[in-house]
Amino acid sequence: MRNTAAVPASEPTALRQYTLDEMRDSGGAVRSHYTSFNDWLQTVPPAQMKQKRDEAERLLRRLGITFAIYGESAGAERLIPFDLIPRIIPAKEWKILAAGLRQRVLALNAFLHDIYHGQEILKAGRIPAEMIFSNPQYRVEMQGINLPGGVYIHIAGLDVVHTGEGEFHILEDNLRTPSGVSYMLANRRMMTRLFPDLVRRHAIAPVEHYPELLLETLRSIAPAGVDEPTVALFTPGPYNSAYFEHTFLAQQMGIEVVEASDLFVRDNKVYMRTMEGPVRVDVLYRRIDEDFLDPLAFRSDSTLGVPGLLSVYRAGGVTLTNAVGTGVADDKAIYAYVPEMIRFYLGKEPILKNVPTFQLRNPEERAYVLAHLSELVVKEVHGSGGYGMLIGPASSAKERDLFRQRILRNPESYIAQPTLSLSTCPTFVEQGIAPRHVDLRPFVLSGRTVHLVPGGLTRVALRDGSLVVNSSQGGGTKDTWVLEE
Amino acid sequence: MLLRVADHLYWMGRYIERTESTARAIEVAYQASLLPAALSADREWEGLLAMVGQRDDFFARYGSPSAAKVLRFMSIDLENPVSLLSSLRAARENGRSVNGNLSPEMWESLNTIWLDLREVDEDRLLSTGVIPFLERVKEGAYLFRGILHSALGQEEVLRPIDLGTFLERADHTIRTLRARYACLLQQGKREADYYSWLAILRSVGADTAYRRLYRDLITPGRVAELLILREEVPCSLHACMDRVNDLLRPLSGGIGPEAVRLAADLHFLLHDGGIRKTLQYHLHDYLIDFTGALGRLSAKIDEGFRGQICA
Repeated sequence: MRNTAAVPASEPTALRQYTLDEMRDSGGAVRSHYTSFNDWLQTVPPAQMKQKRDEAERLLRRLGITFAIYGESAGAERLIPFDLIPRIIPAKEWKILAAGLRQRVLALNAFLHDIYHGQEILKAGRIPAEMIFSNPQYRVEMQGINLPGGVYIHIAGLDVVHTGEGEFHILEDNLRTPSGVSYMLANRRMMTRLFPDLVRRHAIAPVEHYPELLLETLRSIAPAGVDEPTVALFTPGPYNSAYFEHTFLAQQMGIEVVEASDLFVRDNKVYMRTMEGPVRVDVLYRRIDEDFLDPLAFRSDSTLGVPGLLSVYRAGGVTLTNAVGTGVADDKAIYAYVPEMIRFYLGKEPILKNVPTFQLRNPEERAYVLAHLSELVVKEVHGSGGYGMLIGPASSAKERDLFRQRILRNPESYIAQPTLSLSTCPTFVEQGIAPRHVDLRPFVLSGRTVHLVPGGLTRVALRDGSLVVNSSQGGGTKDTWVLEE
Repeated sequence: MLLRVADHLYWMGRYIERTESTARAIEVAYQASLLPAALSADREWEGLLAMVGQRDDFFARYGSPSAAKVLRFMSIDLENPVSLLSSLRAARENGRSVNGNLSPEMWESLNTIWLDLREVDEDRLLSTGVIPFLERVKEGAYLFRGILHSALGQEEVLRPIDLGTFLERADHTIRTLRARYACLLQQGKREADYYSWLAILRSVGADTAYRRLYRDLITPGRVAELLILREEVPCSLHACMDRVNDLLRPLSGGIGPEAVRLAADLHFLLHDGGIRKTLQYHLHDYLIDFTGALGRLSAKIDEGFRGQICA
């Protein structure tokens, strides 16, 4: 078997020491794709930036772009902080990114189709079979089911970090119900409204047609024999934290937002209850976890699901996006094998890098990790939320010894990765403008063809030095400008 | 359109209309309270509480009524289910639950009214003045309605909203008549009568219409006729029930034939040949019957929206 994490011993350290800044090069000079923005910034008094920021907040509230907090009243909707300084990506960098994202999603789709059908990649010994079959996200119900176009991941949100000149690493693949695209669209609207002159100065590739592409994608994979498909967005309801996104996307596509109580199953079809009587639904864009989809098939205590939905789905009476069973492809342990998938299914080398991941089941990799525990992050394969993790650089000798024992006792339960350095981008914080770490979540749409709007959601860690960009942890967002050639 | 969505839109329509009519009722009571004491201002505040059915709640929480207390209770007290802010919040919550079906302008204007007004506390209410506050509420409602009716290709969305609007309007008209029924019978000092009859017209926003139609002194018989029978006046029971009938008929597939039948019965109550006599001698009974029938119709519509369609 190939060593999937063929890293020179020096690379993890190199990754950690160097932090790229999106706006300035290592000598402190402004990068060419930021010059126009920087010239403009010099002319804007700080007081005006403050005023614009307040205006942005007012606008976001008006538009209702808020985060519902479960169990609180209407007055308690939170805003995700929006930062006024855009993250700018030059055309040549986006080209690399787009090609890499497309390649990765194609391979992941091929992988899902394969493991639910012929399992060639397992037969070829490229991925250990027990990693698939022991994975709780592997859905036996999907074995041998043929989906329209063979597509599993209709909407993917891949988290990318910029680690060096022209170099990107994929942090994780979100292949179940990725969210955040409405903020990408809202942020562009905000910038256009707040700084029309600034936007006019730049040739920014547009993103507003995303809902159009999404609708096209959803229509293209309707069940066989349906000419004019009815598409609906399936939401857990107004208390879900991403509810704004659900209604916003549905409204932009002109489709209904449906809850479980609006749907019922009959004669191997799904119907929604309307003023005109039952209307068949052909494609359900689900924003609800598969565990809750159908109380007869998965969690029986789910009140958010539709009894019988899975059997209609398996019989081809309705298309669900994303497919049931995609979770097996975005699992921590499987992540390490995505480059291998790209080689196996596409016969190409990966364009975007994986974070080198050491599988501690392999003796050589284990030896390397045990020798470098103080510089690596060790994660439990089935652990989550930071449980059972060793952060090498911040650990004591005692903790490292403890982990050494654990790894030796049970090596296949662990992976290890170097601590990554996210790039920084100037951000408007209380003290003025300062660098803060960012990542990027572009969205890849796969129907009969693959679409990608130029950009994505840039998330920013607002606390100094913090690497945590999640909005649930106080991260904010920025508009992302991909410049035209 | 989904039944659940239609239900939310219908209630959004009702609550927006309720916001506006409450603002008008508060304004009328407030104006009356500024009149000389001889024209008995206190009764106005109590009458307002009785009309919206919140007298007991108010006395339990506030004690005896005063201008400032009733204003607070009816404008910004979120614990009072029929205060301006409560109605507005309910309209906005219903809108939020279906905002994928509203145009961005509709949602934004509804959300903006709510955000602007929820900031108002007691001090600001008294410092900006009650009238400017009520004006803003009404302007917000007008703007929202204007956006609704200028949107193209939204008939499907408008139908349940309008249904809610006209039912609520009929409800407000009949409440006003019942609450001020006594003063339709009184023949006291000419001046006092004039103000109390004018208050009825203002409370439903029909004072201008009255002058235009009758070009004559205000008399109680004409006030009752205007608010019940004159179909050319948008707040009359007749005008409201005409609209409700038209809006309900195409919905019978979705919410069942029973509601349509009840609406037709109500309509008949307005077209019956003996109605003028009835109004002359049995106005009070008529108002009570009508209120009951309107309540049954509302209940039936709710049932239709929330009931399962028999597949």
